[in-house]
Amino acid sequence: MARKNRNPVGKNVDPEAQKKKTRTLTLKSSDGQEFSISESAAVLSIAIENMVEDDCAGGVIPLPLVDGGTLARVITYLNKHAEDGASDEEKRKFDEEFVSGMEMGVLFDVVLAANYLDIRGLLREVRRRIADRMKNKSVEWVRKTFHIESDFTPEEEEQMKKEFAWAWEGVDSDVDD
Amino acid sequence: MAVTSIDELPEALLLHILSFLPALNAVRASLVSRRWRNLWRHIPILEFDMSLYHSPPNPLSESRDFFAEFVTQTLLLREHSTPLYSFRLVFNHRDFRRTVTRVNSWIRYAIASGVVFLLLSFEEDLFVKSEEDTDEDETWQKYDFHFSYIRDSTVSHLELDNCRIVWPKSLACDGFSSIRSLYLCHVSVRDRVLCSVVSSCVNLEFLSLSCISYLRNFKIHSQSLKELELELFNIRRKDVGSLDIYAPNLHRIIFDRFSVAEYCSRDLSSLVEANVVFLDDGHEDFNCEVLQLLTGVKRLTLMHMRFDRHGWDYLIKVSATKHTSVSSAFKSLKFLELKIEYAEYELFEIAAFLELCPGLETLVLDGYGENDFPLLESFKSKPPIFHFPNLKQVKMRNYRRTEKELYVVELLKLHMVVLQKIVAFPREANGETSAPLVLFDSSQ
Repeated sequence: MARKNRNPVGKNVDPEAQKKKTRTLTLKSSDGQEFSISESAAVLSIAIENMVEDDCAGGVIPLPLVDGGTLARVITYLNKHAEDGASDEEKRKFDEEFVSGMEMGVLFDVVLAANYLDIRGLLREVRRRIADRMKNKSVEWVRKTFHIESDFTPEEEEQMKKEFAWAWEGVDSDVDD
Repeated sequence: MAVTSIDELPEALLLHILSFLPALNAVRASLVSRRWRNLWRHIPILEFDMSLYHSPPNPLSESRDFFAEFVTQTLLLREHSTPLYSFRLVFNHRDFRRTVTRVNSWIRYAIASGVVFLLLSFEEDLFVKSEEDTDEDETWQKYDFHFSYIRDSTVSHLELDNCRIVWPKSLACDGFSSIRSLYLCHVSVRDRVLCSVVSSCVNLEFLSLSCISYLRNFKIHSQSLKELELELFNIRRKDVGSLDIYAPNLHRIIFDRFSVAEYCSRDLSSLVEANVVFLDDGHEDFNCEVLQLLTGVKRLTLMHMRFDRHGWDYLIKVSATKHTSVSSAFKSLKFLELKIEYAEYELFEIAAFLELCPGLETLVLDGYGENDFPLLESFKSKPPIFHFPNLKQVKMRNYRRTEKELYVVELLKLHMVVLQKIVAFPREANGETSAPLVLFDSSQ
């Protein structure tokens, strides 16, 4: 199906925009929970916007890849960003607080949901937060925190360290917490 | 869904996460598992920061060599078919002769790989000098950035920190149309060079000049420029230094502790918003001459405004020659934000300034400082007279309910004509934000 021309997100000035504020959509999570959200907030997700435009929504939009807990968080984010009169500074502050308390597992859920729903701002924020937690951490820390099994033999690992000696010289050992 | 391992994330997401890390961390992450082994080779954003490298007991020269080796190897071994989007280098460059060829080759690699964001910083005093640093030269020079490097490149955003821009007289001016934003900080540049850079970047929309050295006369002539930021530049002598702007599409300008002897604008017809932070160093040399450029704006924010008599008289004189009547000098101004301490002298200045902006609709008073002295009796017996026939709204930020603030509210109410609302936003206390207070509402 051919895509219609889209307005840049959040910059609608046409009378359509007013309608979007009052119209509500229902989003359904993988575990069957339903959430109401204004259309103007929902279409900050490019994926939802496409579903609405292609009119395959039919009232309830099923999101089979997002569970209820994660969807509730995502909706909090969308509502804030669609809020009238919220200044950029306020939104920045909100974003900061929104991700700062999240555990790593929650961050992964949110990053996947944001990726699937195509919400650029949220995606950037969560990726940055995950990266911040990884900064200056040892390989062992990364494996432990992210639940990754090493599939290298100790010999292979030694070999790689030799091969990439230039990446292991001159810097203090990593700081783990 | 409940993801428990980062390994369940798609590769594209992992790459994006690694892009936010310094290159050192991203490369080291190759040891995590087989899947991670080659991820770093495909990262489109590379950040090389030498400050990660220095541990004080080791000589600086050694850290520099390790760092240089790391950058070179990373660039050599990365997957060259992966486009490079952003390249950031933070390099302590006191000993430039030994590494200048390598630095040049890194920058050339980045540009040849289609880099869009290029950020180069050669901080001078990144580290405390250790005693073993014997190779430091007294005649330390800045890194020479030849502007011709980025001719016909894809660089759209260029940031230079602590270097010198080289632009030979014979250099042709074409081929710089990719540049949209330019940040220069602690950069040495000659008058002629700045003028050439600005006029050759024919699509330049954003220009920021901060702590520029060597320069005396800013000549900024640009058809495309939309935003201009001039920061931390001050010539005390009254007879040198000038700012000459021709920017018919400029809509926003920021002056932050910037002052020259002479201002000249040829066309600022699109300017709607201006921000001015005046010098605040206790000298009486506050010059408000910069305001003569800003008479056409709709939104104006002023910080540390302190008009001395000379500056004030000057402004009145300029306004009078440009406009038929002094009282309408800022006739387009609808929004005015002032950062103030609510000191008595400030209130008189504000009252005098408001005389010049009869169209003002919104006034924001942003309180700062801890000054809680009671108002002088002499002030109360002869308070300033505010004149604002069109003022509809007053917002008070960082409101603390001091005697002075309350007095100002009373003064504002006294002179209201069409005033509809005064709202106060209390100052944050212990990280808690309190709800806004409506101090006056004409509809009630």
